Amino acid sequence: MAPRGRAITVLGIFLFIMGLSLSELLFVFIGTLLILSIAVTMPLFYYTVSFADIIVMRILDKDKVFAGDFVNIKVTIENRSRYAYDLVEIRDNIPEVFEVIAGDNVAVANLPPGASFTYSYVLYPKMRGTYAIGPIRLVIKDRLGFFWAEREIPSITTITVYPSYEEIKRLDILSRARFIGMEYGVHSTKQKGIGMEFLMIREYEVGDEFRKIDWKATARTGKLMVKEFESERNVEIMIFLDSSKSMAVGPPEENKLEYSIRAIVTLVKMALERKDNVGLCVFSDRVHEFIKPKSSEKQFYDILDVLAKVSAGGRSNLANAIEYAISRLKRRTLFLIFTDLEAPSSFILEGIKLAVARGHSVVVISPFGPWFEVSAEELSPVERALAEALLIEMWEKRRAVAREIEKYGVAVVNVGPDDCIPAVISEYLKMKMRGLAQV
Amino acid sequence: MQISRILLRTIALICFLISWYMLLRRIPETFFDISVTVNLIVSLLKLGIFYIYEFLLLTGLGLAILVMFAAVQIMGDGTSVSMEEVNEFYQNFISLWLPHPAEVRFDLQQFYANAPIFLIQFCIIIGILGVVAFAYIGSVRGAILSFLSIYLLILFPMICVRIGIPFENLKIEYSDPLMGVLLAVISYVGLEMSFRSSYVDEIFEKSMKRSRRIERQVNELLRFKEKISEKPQMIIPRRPLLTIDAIHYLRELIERRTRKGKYEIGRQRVLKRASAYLKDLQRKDPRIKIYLAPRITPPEERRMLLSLFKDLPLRIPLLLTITYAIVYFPKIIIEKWGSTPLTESVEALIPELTVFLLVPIVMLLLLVSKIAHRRE
Repeated sequence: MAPRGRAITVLGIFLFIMGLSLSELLFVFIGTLLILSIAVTMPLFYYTVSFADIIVMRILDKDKVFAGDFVNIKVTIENRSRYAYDLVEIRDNIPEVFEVIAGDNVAVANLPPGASFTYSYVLYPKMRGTYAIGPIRLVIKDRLGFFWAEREIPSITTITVYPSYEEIKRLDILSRARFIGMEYGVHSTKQKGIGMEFLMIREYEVGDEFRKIDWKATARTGKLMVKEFESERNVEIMIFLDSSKSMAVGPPEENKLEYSIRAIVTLVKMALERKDNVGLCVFSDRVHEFIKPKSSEKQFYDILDVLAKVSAGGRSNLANAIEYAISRLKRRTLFLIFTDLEAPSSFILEGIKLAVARGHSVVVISPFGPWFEVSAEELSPVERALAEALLIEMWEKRRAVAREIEKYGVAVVNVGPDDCIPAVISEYLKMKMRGLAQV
Repeated sequence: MQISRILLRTIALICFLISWYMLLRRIPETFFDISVTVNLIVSLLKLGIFYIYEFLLLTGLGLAILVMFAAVQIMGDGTSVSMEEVNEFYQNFISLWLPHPAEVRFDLQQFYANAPIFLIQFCIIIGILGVVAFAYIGSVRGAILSFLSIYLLILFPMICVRIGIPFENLKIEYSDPLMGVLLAVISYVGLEMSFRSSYVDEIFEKSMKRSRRIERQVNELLRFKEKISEKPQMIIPRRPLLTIDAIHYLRELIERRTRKGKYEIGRQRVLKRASAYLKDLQRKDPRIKIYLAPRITPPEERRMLLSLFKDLPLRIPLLLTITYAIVYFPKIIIEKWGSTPLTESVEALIPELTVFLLVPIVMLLLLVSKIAHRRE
């Protein structure tokens, strides 16, 4: 019963009781009239309400979307019953992390028999993940506002939100402007080879092909000079993403895991455009997802699908993940490991040792916790002093682990929220220049 | 839609006005005397001040007496004073002060005499304000409040008489039950009409408002242009005159401004992209604006009126008939066919018999509703 119905019932009962206690027929009469007005309306209302005859449809203009993009949702409700519904409230439930940027997910309609009503709204998904839109909550009210009947229509549409596309878009714009990285093999490795891109001029050595001699440079210098071209060989990259619980400490949209994922998306896009083979391994105490390195177009979306669903949990065991990957990889590969190095150092070192021993090149990209977790301006002076002390202690611990890792010739790149993506891109380019892990 | 709304509101208003007229014409003029309210407020103030004064005085004196006895005990010649003696002294002291002075007694009498009349006046004011609220903004709460006030206005004097407060009886044509029934019917029709008019408001007016709001929002978004916000100025102390704390404070200030600026820039970017997205949507589907800000198309006025009034000729007479039957039938039956002892008994005159008919009927209707609900 709706609040108005309850109010009238209470009022009716009150007046009726007053009438009885004062032996006053006027109050008995009006009390009875109010009570009956509710009681008579009730069966009529419930008889006409039939949720089974209300058909609800939801159409999304896309079911896979990048975080920060928009999605238009159209909801249609149709009354297939013989009765008119005077007032129908429709609420399409949306996840909390979504923002309605245009329109409204709540609507009010009146539905005569056979009529339908369509409304639409635009959602702004802020965070990656897999979300359910729905169910739809319908509330039917009677004309007098005495009763309502509500039902959740189990109409659920799943939407996958990929990590933010912003960096990729910037990269696209940059690529279009400078024509970099769009063609096969360009900027792949700075290794002399048979490619078309000029690398350098050097003195002739015995065994060099005559066709490589640069006559202009020879005339200028008086020595035989040859032209070097870049090799067009591609790189095999395996990205390891630590999804342990510690990676998700901090604000939900700005923690280490989220930044790592954004960096990975950018890296994957860049690498695939250069026809490098890219794979992904998401791990914590076990391997959650493993995608073999490939360079197909589909690979990007496969990786995005996996990244969209990553959730933090468990403890990190890098050794286990590397062992798992090595058993499935046949070639020498560049291992890019995204981890906060907060797991027991034995697991980390064991993993690194294993990878290096098998001839794989390894780079550790390590987001440093305190840079992501707190903002100095939110702390009081005392808290700030404590945080600084803690930061120094954590930094020392990390340095010790990093020094151990570096003993294996593996670089550890410490990153914060501002330099996470640029650092990853720079490391990737550096590795390519050095010609590591070529296919 | 406008005509239907105005018509419903007018009918409801007329019903309420008639009800109030029927009631107010029965109320003696003395009840409208504004001096009653003034006197009540004045006597309330006086009584309040008197009781505060008395409380403070007695507390102060009580404390003084306690201190005095304690001092006697400590510094005296060793004679002890028991608490009973202190209490007795205090009680005697209070008996000298506590009786109300003649003026205060008068105020108290005034308060008792004026309070019921004030309550009646209060009910009238609330009831009329409710009618005005309903007339102007279509407030259903106002209508319910006005309806309730009508009956409280009749109820108060009755209760006063019952509990022995001398009061002029305000019963509406007590000897003529028809007038009472008429008042009940008219006020009820007023209430039901106000509910129906609120339906028109809720479904169409609210939908229109919502639609206008969203339309405005969508138009703003479509016209959105990114505002280039100024970069926060860097405040760099040139000379080391500032203390460390001041530098920290300034740094925080800059950080905060930068962060706020970043958020605003971020928001502007989102809106800009949303604008582009909407334009694209509009290009693909020109009807998108209609879907984003849908309006419930009101039916033609004639159809609307028909739909709003079609069940009234059945509903109101049916309700009145059942109510009348439930309330008066037992009495008529007893009077017509009952034996003499039963007809002349006191029980035949009391309305409790109504319960025996009302409860089963309501239960039956509830059962039917439950079954209908289950079926769904």
